[in-house]
Amino acid sequence: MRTKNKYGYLFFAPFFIIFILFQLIPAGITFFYTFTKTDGYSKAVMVGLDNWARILQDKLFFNAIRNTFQMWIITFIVEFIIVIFLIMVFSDIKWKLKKLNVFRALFYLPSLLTLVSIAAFFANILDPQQGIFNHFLMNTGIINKPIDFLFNPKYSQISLSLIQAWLWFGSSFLFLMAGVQGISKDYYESARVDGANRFQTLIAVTLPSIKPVMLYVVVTSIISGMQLYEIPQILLGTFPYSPFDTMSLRMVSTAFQWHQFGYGATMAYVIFIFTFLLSFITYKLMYKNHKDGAY
Amino acid sequence: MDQINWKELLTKNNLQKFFIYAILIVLSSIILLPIYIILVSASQQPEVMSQGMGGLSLIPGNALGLNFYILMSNFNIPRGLINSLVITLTSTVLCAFFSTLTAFALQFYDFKGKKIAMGLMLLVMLAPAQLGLIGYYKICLIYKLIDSYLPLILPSVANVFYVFFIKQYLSSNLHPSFIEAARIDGSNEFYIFLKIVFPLAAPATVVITILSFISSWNDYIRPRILIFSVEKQTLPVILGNLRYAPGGLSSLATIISLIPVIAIFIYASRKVVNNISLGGVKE
Repeated sequence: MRTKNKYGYLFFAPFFIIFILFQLIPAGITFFYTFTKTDGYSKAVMVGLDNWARILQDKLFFNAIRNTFQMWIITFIVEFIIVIFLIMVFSDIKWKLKKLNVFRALFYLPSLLTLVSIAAFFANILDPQQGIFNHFLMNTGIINKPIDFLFNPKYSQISLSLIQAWLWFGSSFLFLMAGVQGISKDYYESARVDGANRFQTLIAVTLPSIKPVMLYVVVTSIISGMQLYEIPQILLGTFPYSPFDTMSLRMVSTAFQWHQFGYGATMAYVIFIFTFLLSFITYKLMYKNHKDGAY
Repeated sequence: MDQINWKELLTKNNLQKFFIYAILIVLSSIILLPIYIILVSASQQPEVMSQGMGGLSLIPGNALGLNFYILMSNFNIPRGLINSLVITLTSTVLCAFFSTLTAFALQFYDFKGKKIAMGLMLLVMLAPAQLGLIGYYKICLIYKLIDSYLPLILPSVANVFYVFFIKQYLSSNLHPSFIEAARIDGSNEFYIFLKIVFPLAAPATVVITILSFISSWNDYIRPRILIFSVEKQTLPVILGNLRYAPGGLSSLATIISLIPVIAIFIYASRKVVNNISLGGVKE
């Protein structure tokens, strides 16, 4: 193997060059910008920690943080209730459900659509005057007055979270089910022999066996939740204090509309810090029990 | 006789199964209904759409041709389609090839600095893509890549998650003795990659191909920031501009944008089936 080292370098080089050029250096530049004031075109002026001090008092950004977290948490809870239920029923050896392939493909379908179309579509059907959803609810007598599901602050975040859950639960299910199918049937047999019921089997056999995939799916959910951008951007565009004003919307509009690259870069790092912390906490929570031998 | 049959049919287990299938079907309808409405609304008269879709919209209309005509004469859909195809196909091919090559290098070669490089890769994988967005824009300004397709295509060579995914697959499905045997037979290293590793990694590479195609095809934020010329716009950006147009137009454009994705999905899933049988030979 040792004599072949130069081929290792050769094969790794194209990836690494692009990786440095388009990922590492941009992340580095963004970090440098957090200490500067710049419009991205002219020379950056060093301002020390001004941007960081400013972000701590920025009510608008604080509001965006709250919106982002509220919408992510609702999405996460809805998505995982559905996915865990699906995993439980499809992993059960007594029910032996059929057509897993069909359901899996169906649930994955929304992930194939362009996010912008999905946003445009939901804006259309949820419209209070013209949307089919309000017409349906009024015709069936569930409500008397049309409800503005998207722009009434009472409903808008819940609507958006449900759209997100609708979009992504299929892909979470796809990954997790791939993990479940790798579990040996013997474990389920012995769980049955020991008299475990379905929930006990889920908690003691299925979930611990798919921990690595679960970690991946949860972290993916954190990343996409923290940088929620496309759907709120299409639905409402960016304006201050809207219920859809997320951290990412604020970051992109600060940098690219108002040309405050330094402050935008600071927002980008705040998003990174939240993502990193949440992922780290998830990892710790999931692998804490492991050492105790609880499973 | 009848009674015994009923008892057999109405066991607790079967009843539970019935309820679960009912829930699954409801869930599928929730998934399918919006997609069905998109399909149907592409053929609705513009007036129907603007008067509200209540009641009428579950039945196909007769304005498909009209919507198509309006869409084509007001928005440059063919151009956007070609632009998107050029970008997506190039990035997908590059991504599949280089992700596999990189995974091969990391899995089967030892070289100095490999551990540090992999650590860096893991760290960047955790960072959101948008973290680099500002710096990425600056890089494009410095290298004069604004309004060009290169910054949309080149980064697909370096997707850390895809590399680790294929590396994981190689580690459990390709024994080093295969490579040793090929070396003894006198093949050079690049030939080994092309003729042995690449075909055997195919099931993983195909998954990467689908994921990469979808994400590149639907990419919205990067082309929106980087591309200024109208004739260079990609399909998702045009779709974004269509959001205030009558619903039928937007739905029709959505369907057009969905065709390549479905095509690659079907093509690639066939490949997976073929390759699974190919993988069996090595056992």
